[in-house]
Formats: sequence, C-alpha cells, structure tokens
Amino acid sequence: MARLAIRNLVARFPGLDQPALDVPAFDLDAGARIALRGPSGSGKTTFLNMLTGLARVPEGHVTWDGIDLATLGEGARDRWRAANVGLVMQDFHLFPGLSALENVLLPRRLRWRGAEKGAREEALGLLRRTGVPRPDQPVETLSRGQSQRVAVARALLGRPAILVADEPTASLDAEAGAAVGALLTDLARETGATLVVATHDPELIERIGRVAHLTAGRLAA
Amino acid sequence: MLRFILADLRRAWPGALAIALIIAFATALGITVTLQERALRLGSARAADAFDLVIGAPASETQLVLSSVFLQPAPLPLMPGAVMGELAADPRVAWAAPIGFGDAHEGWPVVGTTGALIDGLGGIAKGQGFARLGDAVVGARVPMAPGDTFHPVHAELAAEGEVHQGTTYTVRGVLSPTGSPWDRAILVPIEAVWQSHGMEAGHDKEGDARHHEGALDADQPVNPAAVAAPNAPGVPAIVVRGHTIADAYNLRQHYRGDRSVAVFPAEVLTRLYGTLGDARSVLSAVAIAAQALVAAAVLLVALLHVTQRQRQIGALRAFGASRGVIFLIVWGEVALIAAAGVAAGIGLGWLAARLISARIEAASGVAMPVEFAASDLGLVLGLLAAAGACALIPAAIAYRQSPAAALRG
Amino acid sequence: MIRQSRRAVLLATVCLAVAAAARAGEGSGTLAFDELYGKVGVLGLSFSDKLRALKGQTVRMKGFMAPPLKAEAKFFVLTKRPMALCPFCSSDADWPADIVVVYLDRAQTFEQANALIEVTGTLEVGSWTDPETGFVSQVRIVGARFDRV
Repeated sequence: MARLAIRNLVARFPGLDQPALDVPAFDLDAGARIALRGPSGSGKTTFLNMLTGLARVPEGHVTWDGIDLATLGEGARDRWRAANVGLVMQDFHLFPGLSALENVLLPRRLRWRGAEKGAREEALGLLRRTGVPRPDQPVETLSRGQSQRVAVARALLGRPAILVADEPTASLDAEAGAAVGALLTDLARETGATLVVATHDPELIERIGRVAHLTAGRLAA
Repeated sequence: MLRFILADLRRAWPGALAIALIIAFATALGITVTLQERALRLGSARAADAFDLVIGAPASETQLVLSSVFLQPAPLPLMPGAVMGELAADPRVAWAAPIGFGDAHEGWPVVGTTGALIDGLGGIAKGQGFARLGDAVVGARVPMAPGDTFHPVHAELAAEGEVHQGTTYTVRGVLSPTGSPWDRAILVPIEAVWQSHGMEAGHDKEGDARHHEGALDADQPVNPAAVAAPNAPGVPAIVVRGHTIADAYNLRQHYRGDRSVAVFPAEVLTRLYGTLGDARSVLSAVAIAAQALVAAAVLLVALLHVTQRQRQIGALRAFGASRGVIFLIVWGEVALIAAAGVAAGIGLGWLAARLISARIEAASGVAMPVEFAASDLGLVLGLLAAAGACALIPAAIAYRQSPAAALRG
Repeated sequence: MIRQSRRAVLLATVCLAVAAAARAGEGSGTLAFDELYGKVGVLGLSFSDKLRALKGQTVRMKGFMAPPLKAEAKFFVLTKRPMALCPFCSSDADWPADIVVVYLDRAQTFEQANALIEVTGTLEVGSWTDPETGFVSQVRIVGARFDRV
C-alpha cells in the first residue's frame, strides 16, 4: 500500500557536468508494478538507491506515502527501509553458513529487538510458497534458481509495502528466470506491494506490463 | 546476532583459529614470565623459611646462603668451633644447629648437623631422629627408607668413586617434606662427619682434615654437648633462630665481625628479587612488545577482512540491519576471537610455567608455587580492554560504509 | 549514543571526585621519625601528642626498609636510617625509638630492602603482639602500601 511521488530528483557525480539522474516528476500508485529499462550507466542503480533510501537524496524529493526520504538521516532511512522495503538483487546475497530458513529470517534477527513471534512460521510459509523444498538446507548447496527463490522469500518476509528487484533474473537460466519472474509478480499481486524491477528480461517486462525507460538519467514512461 | 557471528566464525574457522592462536601465544608469553618469576620468588622464599639467620666465616654472604639454605656445593671457609658454643649459651637463641657439608651418596648431599635442625625443618615424618653416630635421617625426596644403609663418598672425590672406608650409616627416619633442597639431603650427626674426616675435638687444623681419614664408631651415642664444646672442630655454617624478631636482628648484628658473618637468607633473597624483578621487567617489556606486534598484525587482518567483505556488510545494511548492529557484529566477532585467544593464552601460559617449574623442582627440590595473584587480573583485564579497543577500529570502518557504495560493482 | 556518552561523563566525574578525595586523604598526616616520641622521662619514652592525635588515621611516612627476616612476609620494619645497621641495637630499650612496623594486607616478597620508601596506611599506637610471629611492637602502620621514593 505504498504510493510513490518523485519531484525534481537530481543526482550528480563529482566531475560530471551532466546529472546522473534527472527526474522532474514520477508517480506510482500503491500496488502498481513497473519495469525499469536502460543501458548500463543510465542511472538505474542510482535511481533504485534513491527509491530505497540506500543513498541520500541529494536534491529534490522522493516521497513514499507522505514520507520524504530526502528529509531522513541515514539511521532513519535504514529503519524505514527495514520496515517497508523488500529487496531482491542480481547476486542473491545469501549468507553462507546459514540455512535457507535462517537466511530468510536474518534481516529480522539483526534488528535490535530481534525477530517477532510468528516470523519463523511466516518464513516457512514463504519458502513453501517460493518452492524451496528443504528450509534447513545450507544455502551453499542450493542451485542459482533455488538461491534466488530464497532471496525472494527473504524480501517478502514481513509483507513489505514496496518490493524492489535489481536484475533478479539476469544471472539465472531461462527456465529458472521465468519461475522467479512469475513468483515476483504473483507475490507482489498477492500482497498488494508496489513493485519496481530493473530488468532487461523481455519475458519479465511483459509479465509486469508497464515499462519505463531510463536514458542518460532521464526517465520516459 | 550472536548466531550470525558464530555461523560466520564456523565458516571461517581456520583463519579465526590461526588468529586466536597467535593471540594466545603472545598472551602466554606475558603470563609465563609473570607466573614463573613469582614461582621463583615464592619458591625460594618458602624454601628459606626455616632459616632465619645463617652464621658463617667471613666470606661471601650470598655463597653462605646458597650453600646452607639451597645446599649448593661450594668450599666454604670454617668458623672457629667456639662460635657454636657461644651461640648455644646465648639467651637470645631459641636453637642453633651447625651444618657441615662435603659428603654425598649417589648424588644426594650428606649433611652433618644436630637434632635441632631436624626439628627446625619440620620434624620427622616417619621413623626417628639420631641417637647414635651411625644414624641418618633422609629428606622426603631421597629414595631410602628406615633400615637402609649406605657409605658416603667425599663430594670432591666422588668422581673417582672413593668411598669412606669403614663409614656406614643406617637410615632411621624420613623428614617431613619441606619444599626446599633439604628434601634431597641426607642428614647425619655432625660428630660423625668430624670422626670420619678425622676432625675430632681438640686437634682441628684447617687443611689437614682431608688427608686424615678417620673411622666412624657407628654405635657411639650422639652427645649434644660435644657440639657446644669450646674446643669443638670448626664448622662452615650455623643456622640460628632467635626467640623474638628483635633477638634475630640483635644476633645478626652481634655475629657480624672479624670472626664471623651473620646474614638473614631473606636479605640475600631480597637483593636477588631486585635483580629478578629487573629481569622480569625486561622480559615483560619483550612480551608487551610481542603483544603489540600481534595486535597490529591482527588489526591489519581484521581491516583487510572488513574491506574484503564490504559487499556482504553492505547487503546486511540493505536488508535492514542498522549501523549499530553492523558495528556490534564486527566488533563482537573480532573481540570474541581476541578474548578466546587471551583465555587460551592464560591456560597456555600457566601450563608453560607449570612445566618449567616442574623441571626446576625436580632438579633443585625447591617447590615452585605457580599461582595467580589478584594483580594478574589487572594484566588480563588490560589485555582484554586492549583487544576490545583494537576491535573498535574495524567495527568503526564497517559502521561508516554506505550500503549503496558497498553494493555497487 | 547520547545517553551513553552522558553516562561516561558522569562516570568520569565520579572517578575524578574519588581520586581527588583520595589525594586529600593522603595529605592528611605526614609523620617523621623525630615526631614519634615526646620527652624522654623517668619511665623512658612517651608518645608525642602528634602521634596520639594521628592514631587511627591515615598517615604517610618516609624511611628505609630494614633487611627482612623472612623473604615472604606480611610485615617489615621501617627505620630512620639505611640499614646495614641493626634497628634493635641502637639502644638497650626493648623498643627502639626510630622504628615503625609496617603491616601489609597480605604476605609478599620484597625488592626494596635498604631503599628509601614512602609508606601509607593506618596508624596504630600501643603495645601489640602479632599472634603469628609473637612480634611485640609499639607503633605500627597497618593496611599499608609502599612505593620507592
């Protein structure tokens, strides 16, 4: 249930005249889904960093449901992201030495107050839903497709209102990619999360339905 | 959080173990120096406990103490026999016992003395004391039992194996353990030593003793008065205990002169401890330098490790771990390895000191108490605090990493 | 974070206050050997007024450690002069005027014989027999610690 409103967002890198990102206005309704396309170096990663509060908003406003990330400090952005954003990345970022279940629960357990009651059941349910057969399997032994399924389950724990994925299928073969793509869109629909996916995968773009192009820092719907 | 740290350590255990071991060795170095120096001090102090005051002919005080308290063989000049008689009559003296060295049996020193020293050393544990000149009492570590007999040899002639002909002693008793070199000694009546060396009362002339081989009448009863006789043969050392502490100081003063020197073994040891303390300071400085080097090396490894894992740390942040949690994880992991190393080092250091002490104990008979003191807690806490402080640096670096910067590339 | 640093400041303040108090305490009674006794009367030595006044208080005294009788001991004799001399030989009296017995909290070995040291501890005055050694003393500093000067 998160609505996005971006106004006059400008990001520059030192030494470059052209801004890396220049988005005068961009809106997404709560529960909307959008694919983000653009050649490498077009500012996709910068844009996602701004959307998720991973980086400071240097100029302009990125407002989710009335909360302007530009006004939040680093700690506040961390807390906001932990509460509202599920992240899926190209290289999974699973932690070896822990099981699939422990990886799903890790972000919760690393909070000061620890994981809430019921988080374990929720995680088991998510692993079932994403098709990971053995929750106690060490993640080092999982296939790439399985690993990304665990990452998707981790992103969805706690039902975040915002789901952001960065090239979630790029490092998978076609079959696994299709399965992960389907999971992402289906689960976003089921939970009502607003979904933003940076991807080049035509099948995933088609599945999402709406696409925005980012070229040299400028966004075109 | 702890589970994450433990999982991480389990995964990287060879590296963590190597670092913990290096820290353990550096810690053990310092602990061993401290414990061993203390063991030497306490061991020698307790070994000298029975010997308040030692009186000998004017010569090296240190040699007098080493020979009498620690039974180090060395040729000591003899005092006139009259000194013993004077001491026996002195009202300030609780007891005084002459000691005469020179003989040995299979490496165990045979020492001539009187019953007063047997009582002063802690008494007989098994059997009885001297009654006749052929009786002997053995220290707790000497492998002989009442009823055994032996022939002593001249210590300086022992290499040639010259046995005192006609001198046979029978073991009558075993001393209580003293934790001193006297546990390795065989005690015989000093009159018996005089007799077997041909130094009967009245014709004692320095220098002619060793050529004048006498025979021992083993059945002759011990005569305490013979020792105190004004014409008794000279002795190298007399152990004295005063009635009071003031008496001990007075006796020390009274018998320091042209004829004799009186010394508290404690004052010689105290001088020695000064030197020992200096040695400890040097060794401790070496140990601290080693610890600092290890700390620097570990810090370098930790920094490399944190930099290498920028992406992983960034991912933790991206998934919602706060900076404080990241700081705590990195700090906790480094501090845990260091604490484990310090703990293992304490055990290792104690073990090393124990082994060294056991060897010294076996060789000298001096019991070496390897024990921790309250002051060691400061040393350990200091090490832990230093480890904790060092761990702050990689933790702070991890804390400052931006999650976005960490994830890029 | 802020709460933590505030606590640290509080702790530091307390530490400083305690240290200051301790220093003030140390300064309270410096005693010299010449100040122990008053006039020598018919009955021998009598304690000085200053000694009586400081009884039970923390005092500081400078002197020399006499050669110890035991290498590991709970006590030692503090004397006015460096000690190749005998602390008990200077007079015929049972108790010489220029010594004080120093009792420590626990037995230890010494390194400082014949060195000038400063002793800090609680002053005790009056005849007392040490039950362990039978040592009778008139003036003592107990619970003492000492440092080379």
